[in-house]
Amino acid sequence: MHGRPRKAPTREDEAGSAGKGKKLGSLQSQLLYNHHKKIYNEEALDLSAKTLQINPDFYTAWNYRKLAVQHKLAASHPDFNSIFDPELRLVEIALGTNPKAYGAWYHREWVLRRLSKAHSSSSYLNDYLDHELQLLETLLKRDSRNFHAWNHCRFLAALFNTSDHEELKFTNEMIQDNQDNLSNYSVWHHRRVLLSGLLKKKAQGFSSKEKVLHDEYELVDGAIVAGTEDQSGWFYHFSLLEQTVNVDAPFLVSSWPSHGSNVLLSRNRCSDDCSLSQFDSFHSSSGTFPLILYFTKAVQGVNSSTITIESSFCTKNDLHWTPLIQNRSQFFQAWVTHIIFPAANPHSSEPYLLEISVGQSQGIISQNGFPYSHPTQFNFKVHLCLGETERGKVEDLDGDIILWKDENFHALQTKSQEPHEVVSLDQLIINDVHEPNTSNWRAAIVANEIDLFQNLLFW
Amino acid sequence: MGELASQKHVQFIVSVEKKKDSFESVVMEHIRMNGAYWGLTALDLLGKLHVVDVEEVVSWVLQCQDDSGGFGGNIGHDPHVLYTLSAVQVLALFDKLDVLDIEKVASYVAGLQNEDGSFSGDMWGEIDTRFSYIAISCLSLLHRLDKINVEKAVNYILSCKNHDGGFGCTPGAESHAGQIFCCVGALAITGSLHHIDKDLLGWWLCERQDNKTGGLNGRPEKLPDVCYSWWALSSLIMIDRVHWINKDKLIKFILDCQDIENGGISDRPDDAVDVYHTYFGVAGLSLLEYPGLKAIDPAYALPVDVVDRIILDR
Repeated sequence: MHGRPRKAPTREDEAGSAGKGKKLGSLQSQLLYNHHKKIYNEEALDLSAKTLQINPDFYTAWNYRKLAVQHKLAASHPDFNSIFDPELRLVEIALGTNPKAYGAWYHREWVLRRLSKAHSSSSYLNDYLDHELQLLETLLKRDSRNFHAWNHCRFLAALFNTSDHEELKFTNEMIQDNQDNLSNYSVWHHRRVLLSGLLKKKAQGFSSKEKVLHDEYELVDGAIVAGTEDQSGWFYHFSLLEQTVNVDAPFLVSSWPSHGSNVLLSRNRCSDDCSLSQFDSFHSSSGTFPLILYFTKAVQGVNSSTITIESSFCTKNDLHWTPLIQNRSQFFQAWVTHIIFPAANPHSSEPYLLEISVGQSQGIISQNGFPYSHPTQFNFKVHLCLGETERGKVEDLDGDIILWKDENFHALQTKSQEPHEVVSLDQLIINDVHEPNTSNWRAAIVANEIDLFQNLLFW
Repeated sequence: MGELASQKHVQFIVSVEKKKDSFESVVMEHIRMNGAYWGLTALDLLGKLHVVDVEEVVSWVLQCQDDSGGFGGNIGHDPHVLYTLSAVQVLALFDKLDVLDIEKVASYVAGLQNEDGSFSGDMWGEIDTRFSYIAISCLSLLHRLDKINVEKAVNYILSCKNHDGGFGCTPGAESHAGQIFCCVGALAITGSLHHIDKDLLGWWLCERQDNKTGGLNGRPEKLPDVCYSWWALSSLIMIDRVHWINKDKLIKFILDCQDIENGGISDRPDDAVDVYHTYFGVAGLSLLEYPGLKAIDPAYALPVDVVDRIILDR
């Protein structure tokens, strides 16, 4: 019993309640009888309508009505209007009694789905859509947070294929028409879902994330200033900040070996004189070393066509890439391949340069469907540890050993960056090739918002 | 701060069962199975389950079973997962799951999984993450999770995750603490909590606490309500962020909603009491480790000893 005041019932209350209870009880048991006996005549249907009018949560009665609809549709030449319209009317009456009755809302969806299949003429369907929108308006006026009504809104959009633009206009109107809706979390939520869909599709008018976000900040900043205690605006603002700093497309953030590094390779654990400080040392009895790529997001499509390697010793590009850690997903942040050591050349101690190109051809894609659109190159050198074969054979190692030191891990410095700048992760992220002239808009927006809220603090 | 009027609440729960003729009882006739679960679990948490005639309850529960294997909300009412889970939970309380044809019940529930991993509530096809939780909890209690595609079920739940870290009934639907309980509970049971951004969701959930009264609401800008002392609180515990709310204030709010004279707990202070809020108030206090109450499991919504007996078989 939500929101009903506590008071001891008077004798009249109790008598009234028993009387009403008796009437409803007899309707409900008669309905169950009709249901079990599959009686679908007018009288039985009237009785089910009366029951649902008083008790819209009596779910078996909605099931009974669905069976009756199916029964009527099975007749030869069914008259759709006379079958569907009474169902829609009954739901409206039931929602008048309880606007949150799950059974009533679902009955409406069930009927509308069948109705939209039965009527092929779209102008006819438009009349139904108009009616649904009117109903929503009435119910949202009664309770603008009724989540059943908002869910119905999304259901209608999918069933009648209405445009997201139209719906966004609806939330605009909701926000502008009524100051109370500035703190209506349901409206902001609905708006967030619509906008992210439009941005993802790069729909007309929504290809510039900068402009869209700019307008949204303007709208929500107004709402926050109008009611600083309301949570809705703040949560929406947070989601905008998240979209501002978050870039959808995946990026390469790090690798091993890292860009510009020197790696000393040996088949056995080298004696100390080989482990010079400027080298990363790597020992492997199998004669291969790993190349590891680490992305900002879990991705798939890392293979020998999306990742190319150029070097004088590793010419065949048929490397096999696997996720560093397997799990049930098909998308991974870290990928690894194994490269065979260069053949030992007793006449030269020159290092071998490896040039790695990531994403020159399309194919790497993140879990939420954004392609790797930021071709990146990096390089490193490998040296063979000479004369090692005679030494250290006694150390028969079971597996590969990598000297994992913190200093071996660096944020990736790609060639597209300024060479002398320290590259932090967020700067890498900001550099989005799809928005060539706006690399600073994200930072500008955040700075602007900080100013605004600092001012708010001093009010 | 007052104390929990345990004895009064036991009397209230038992008395509700006897008042069958009032309009309030008749209008709830179709969810009597849920009512049985709420009332009996509350009695068990209060240490008073023995006041109930077990045989009478078990025999009534079995009469609510349909040929399909599912249970209705009362005798002669259609089967639905909402009542099937309650029936299984009630039998679990009494350690009477062996009266069931487990394979038949599990087949009914598993048969409601859709191609996309979601679950329908019954043969009429309504889809909601509440039903995902129910199916997963029910099949886990019956040791039959292998009958469904758990990976797909988890992925569907994740498709209902929102930007605020919460979950809705269907993809795109607004976050709601009750729905969050269902999704977090289902992820907890299937060992999939790593898919949740615990800080983000924990933030949204702890903001449900009303500064003034200490009560929790279910969505931003809504009134506090005792039932969210279950939905939001159990979720906070499952994601290990319960220290982000003020527990003492919440205990006070729940105790303030008691009817000290006649027993029972209401949604807010001075509103009419009912079994639903009495159960969720007591369950919330149990989660808050209020003295004298049995511990309740935040994912299965059953006393911990019952869950241990079934899941850990001890």
